[in-house]
Amino acid sequence: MEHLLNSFSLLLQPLPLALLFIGVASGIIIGAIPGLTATMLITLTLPLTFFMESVNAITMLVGMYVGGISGGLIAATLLRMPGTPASIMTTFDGYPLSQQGHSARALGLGITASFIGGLISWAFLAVLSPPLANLALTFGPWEYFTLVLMALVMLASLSQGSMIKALMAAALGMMVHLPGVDPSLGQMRLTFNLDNLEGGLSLLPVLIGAFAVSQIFKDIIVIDREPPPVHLDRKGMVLSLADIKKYAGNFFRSSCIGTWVGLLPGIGANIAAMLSYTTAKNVSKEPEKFGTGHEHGIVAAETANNAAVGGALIPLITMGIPGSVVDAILIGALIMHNLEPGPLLFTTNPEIAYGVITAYLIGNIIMFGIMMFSVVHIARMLYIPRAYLLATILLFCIIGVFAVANRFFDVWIMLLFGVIGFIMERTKMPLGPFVIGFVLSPIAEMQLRSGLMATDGSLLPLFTRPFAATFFAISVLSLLWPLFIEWKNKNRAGRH
Amino acid sequence: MQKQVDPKADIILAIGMILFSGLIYLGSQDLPPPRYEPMGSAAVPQGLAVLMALLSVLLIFRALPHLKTFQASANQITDVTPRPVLAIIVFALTLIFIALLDFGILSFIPAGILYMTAIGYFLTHRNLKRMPRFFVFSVLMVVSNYYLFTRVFYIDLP
Repeated sequence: MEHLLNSFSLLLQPLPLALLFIGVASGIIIGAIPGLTATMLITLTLPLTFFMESVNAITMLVGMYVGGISGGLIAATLLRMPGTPASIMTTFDGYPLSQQGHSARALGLGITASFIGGLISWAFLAVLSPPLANLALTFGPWEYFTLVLMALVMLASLSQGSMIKALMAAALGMMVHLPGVDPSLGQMRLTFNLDNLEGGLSLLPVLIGAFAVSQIFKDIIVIDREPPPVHLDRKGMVLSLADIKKYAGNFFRSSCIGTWVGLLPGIGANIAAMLSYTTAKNVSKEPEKFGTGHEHGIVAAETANNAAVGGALIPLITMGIPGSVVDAILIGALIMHNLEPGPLLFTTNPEIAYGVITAYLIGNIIMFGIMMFSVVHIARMLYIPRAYLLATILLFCIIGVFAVANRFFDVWIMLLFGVIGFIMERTKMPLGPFVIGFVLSPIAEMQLRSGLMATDGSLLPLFTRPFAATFFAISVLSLLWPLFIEWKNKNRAGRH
Repeated sequence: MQKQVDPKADIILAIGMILFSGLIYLGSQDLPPPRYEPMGSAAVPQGLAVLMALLSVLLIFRALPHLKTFQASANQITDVTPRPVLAIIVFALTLIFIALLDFGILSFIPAGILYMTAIGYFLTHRNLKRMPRFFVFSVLMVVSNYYLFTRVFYIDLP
């Protein structure tokens, strides 16, 4: 509690608060523009954070995360174009409600739901994180190895589309991290006699290439797509107390679903919104209204996707395991600032661990304020000419990557991964498992090798250590379950 | 509904991944055998290469039956005309820009202004009327970024 209060007093100082505000505001704007995502913004901002104090840097990035996920609802509601993947479900009811002449009401519901989802999820984050970090301190290499395995397999099995491609993406991410110094023995490997590869491939060129550059080229292909004009005023945006009471059950249920899904390693806000929306529809007395502008649909989707952010921060600060792709990038940010993500963060750098918790709460409050008061102005950002936007981002990608180590090798690597990311998107090979594989690869390898060293090469602890056995069992089940469902569906189809 | 991927693209992707796995596998064959611990430096690269190759083969097997039945949705009605050539042009300009800087042919400010103006020319569909404004925008962006990085962050740009 003392650490938490200290953290509040630290973050309420002018500089961290201003950076948090900038983070949330830029997150909302970028999240609102279809095609640009929180992932892209955070990745592009990483080079700038080198020059900041760690607490300020992480605080700003958390603000961007909160803003980016929330901002997605604006385009989803007004244009049926999800600003971020997390707001896909919001288009189902937000857009029809907006088309019925209730844009302000639809946005008000979404913004309030995002805020409440964030608040409830923050409570879970603040209460669960310290004891979970204590528990994680008892984990050994086998627990960590199986936890990483679980994150990768769950992410692959829950990815939309082909599980084989998701597993391939995870394997590719891990393989890309192999060149350079072997993390256990210090042995140089897979450098192919290239001096530049001796340090391995850095996080930033790979991330900026895969997420930002590939996205820019995707956007250039459809550059002629212009959003239709919308009329919007703020009348009816503020929800009444009766509205809050009416949706209280939905708020709470969707927050719990969002937090829980976010907590599962590797799964992000889009799955949370989907699951919450489906649950709301299933328990509703009028499920036929979903998809036609039903307010419960907006509440379920927006509450859950924001709650997932808080949930996903739990494994990040307690175990160093990313709850989503953005969290994988945040882990990268911690590593870049010479901080070790994981349970020790609470003892070695409590200002960072509690700073994340506090920034998440204050970020949500700022997000609510900005969105409620300036959503009309933010909506105008949807009409920024794409040519200016894309050219600026591309230039910034190049400078940002070059600035990290002052070498052009990184810029070429960024461009290469831009092409790889583009091909992956085109062939429906998900980028999420790739990035998480890339970030977690050295942890997985080091933990596995430490475990094997301790047991003289025996794999028995995978089955004898309770937590490791549980994580391993979940991994195997996550791998087999989709195959079982597919087999069952085929059998059923065969019978008919 | 998600757009179906052409099985041919899947097969090409899988072949590419098999080749990449081969490269990783061969590249790790020269690594010394384990001495102080059971696995050694080569085990993980080789294990991942084998896994990737197996998954790729599986992808090929899954794609093969759809080769004849798949119908490309090229004539699908879309709200805008896709412009892949525009993306290729911007990519080529980016390659040239980086090469100009990397090989020291031009310094950041002139190369950056030329690069952004050229991109603007193509992204605005070669509309010369919009070029003066884009040129001014390019100058402002490049010069402000240059001063931000060199004077504020103390990073030398080429």
